[in-house]
Amino acid sequence: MTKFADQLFTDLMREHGPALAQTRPPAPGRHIASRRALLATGTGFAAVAATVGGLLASGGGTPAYALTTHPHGRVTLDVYRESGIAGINTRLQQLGDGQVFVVPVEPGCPRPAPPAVSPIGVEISVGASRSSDGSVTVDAHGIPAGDILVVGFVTTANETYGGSVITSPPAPSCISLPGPPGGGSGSGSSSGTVTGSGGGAA
Amino acid sequence: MPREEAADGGAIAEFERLYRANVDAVMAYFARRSRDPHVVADLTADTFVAVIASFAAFDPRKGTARAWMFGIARRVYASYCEAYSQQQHRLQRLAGRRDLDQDQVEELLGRIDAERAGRDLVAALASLPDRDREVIELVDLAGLRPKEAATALGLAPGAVRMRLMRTRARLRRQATTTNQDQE
Repeated sequence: MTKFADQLFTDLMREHGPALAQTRPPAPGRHIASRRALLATGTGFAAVAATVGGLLASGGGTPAYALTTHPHGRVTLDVYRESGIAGINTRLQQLGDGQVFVVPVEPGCPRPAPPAVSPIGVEISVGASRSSDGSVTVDAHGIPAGDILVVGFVTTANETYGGSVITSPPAPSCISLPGPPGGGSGSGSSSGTVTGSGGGAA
Repeated sequence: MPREEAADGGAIAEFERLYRANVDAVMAYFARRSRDPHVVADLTADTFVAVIASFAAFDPRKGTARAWMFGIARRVYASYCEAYSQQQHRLQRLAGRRDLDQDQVEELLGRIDAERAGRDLVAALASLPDRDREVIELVDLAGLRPKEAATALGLAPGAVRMRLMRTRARLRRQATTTNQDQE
């Protein structure tokens, strides 16, 4: 291999080797369940947490994630499996977005810290633009400098839901969030604004 | 646990095998599209990051690893073109650009130069419909089998063979016409 190829392989193993090590190698005949995570998005001033949830039926597709850029800095995120988190964060970093992070939601993980900049106790408004295929568009422009938006998702055997929270850096490796809001299962189109109030832990 | 260690080693070893077998072809694919060694380096890196991210999802029953990788490379390039067309390219690449030493830059420039004929051909094929152009490139330039190209393009193998025959015939007609005009 060339020097560049050797160096790239070394870089890939350093940055993604641990995640790859957790992956089972492709094997013929192994069915890979496809699950799609709904990533809820948030902008604006957050007190502590704003959770936007939705339940999606299992969807198709083989990639672990997809990321599409739009004009004016908006980014559409699509996470199909937890293994896609590392990749989508890498892509976000490559796109120069230092304020949006995707993490898994797992029991026992710390709850996000209060935002360092956004005023606590102020009602927040989180716009969740969700397409019919479950992808979600993030507009990070509303996040105050000094704060970050952490988008967490959890998957169960048959469905996924996600939430977002404005918090202070650094981004945690995982977070815990309140349970999914009732109802709303099934795929389909949904968009709108979800409001939540701060003051409580996520 | 030994079993987990074996599984871990398996994934990394399998990835390394795929990487070494395909990295040159992926670099050449991008070198036919850009004369900028940094762009070629970035897009190659992006492709293999995406390969790692979706490694567990690769299903050999649906096609070869090479076809799967070229499908990813196509999407990476499409994403790059979209960003470029939105004129966000320069800003976005500031954070993602790989650091290359002079040896690597020269090495990539050599690769880019080696792909000059292929790049000229790709440019010359611009008048063809997108899918026809991609079929010709993947089969006649990248060396994929028609069935692999079909997987990479999300087309039926029969459709790829038809496009291949039709496009080659069209190119032959164009070449003949050009030669006659020159005479």
